[in-house]
Amino acid sequence: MKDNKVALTFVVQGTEVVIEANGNAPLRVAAQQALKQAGDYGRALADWEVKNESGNVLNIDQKVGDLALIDGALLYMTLTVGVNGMSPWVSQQI
Amino acid sequence: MSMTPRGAVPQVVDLYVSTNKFREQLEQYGMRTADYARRGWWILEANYPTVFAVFAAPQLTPPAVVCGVLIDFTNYDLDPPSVTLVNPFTKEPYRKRNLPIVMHRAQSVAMPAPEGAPVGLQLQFMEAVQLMQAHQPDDVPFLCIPGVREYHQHPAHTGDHWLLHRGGGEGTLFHILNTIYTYGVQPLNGYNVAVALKGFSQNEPPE
Repeated sequence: MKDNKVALTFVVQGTEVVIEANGNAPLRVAAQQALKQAGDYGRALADWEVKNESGNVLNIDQKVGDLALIDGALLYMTLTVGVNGMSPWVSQQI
Repeated sequence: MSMTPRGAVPQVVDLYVSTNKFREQLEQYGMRTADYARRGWWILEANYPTVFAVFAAPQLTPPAVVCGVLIDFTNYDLDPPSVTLVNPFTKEPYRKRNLPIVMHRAQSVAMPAPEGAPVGLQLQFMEAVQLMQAHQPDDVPFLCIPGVREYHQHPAHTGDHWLLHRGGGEGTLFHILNTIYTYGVQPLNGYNVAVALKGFSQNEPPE
């Protein structure tokens, strides 16, 4: 790690890009760069989820350093699923 | 003309175009095969226009082979792929009634506040939306998300044309496999075991 920077490997819809991210910047900055480098799908960042290797969704407003992302960390960026299906039951009340 | 589990589909797009785009999808997948294998994704066959993949659940002990999927890329990407969940051993399409996995997506829904409730009160419910849809239990269900041929061909979705999504990341091999994995396989965390009592066991009969 140089100057608080880490190289993050993003897999954007299956396309791999490596972004040098600033540990003090929110993850959304690196995610936006990854999206652009992967080909810019014409979708807003809000349409995407960033997950770690375990499948946990990361809060992109948190700083890279606070998320404990180390050099070489693998992150998946996937589109959130849009659905027009039926809604058969209400499972849980907030 | 290609035969899919849902019937014959004529090839109308230049075969060169569709086969090249099909190969691109596979090449992109091939760049991270090891990662996908760790998730339990196995592509067993890939000959245009069909990809046959099987999902395992490595997080279970013992691990399980969960289901298979046939993805048909005929006329890709003028048309999106067709997706059918199948028996991983026989490739027989599952019916709604015998799907081995439930694919639910939690979705928050705002509800109107009851009469007399304080001003500004908002109620929200978490609703489980089924991603595999069928009209009857014996129908072959379809994956109800944009980027899937059956979704865009359904009369309820005529206002959401595939060409509005094409090139936007949906309808790709990765997106389809990842959706089935995220909502159907990754949530599995154990086996449901039922114990049934059937009469008594007994020792050797006395002489």
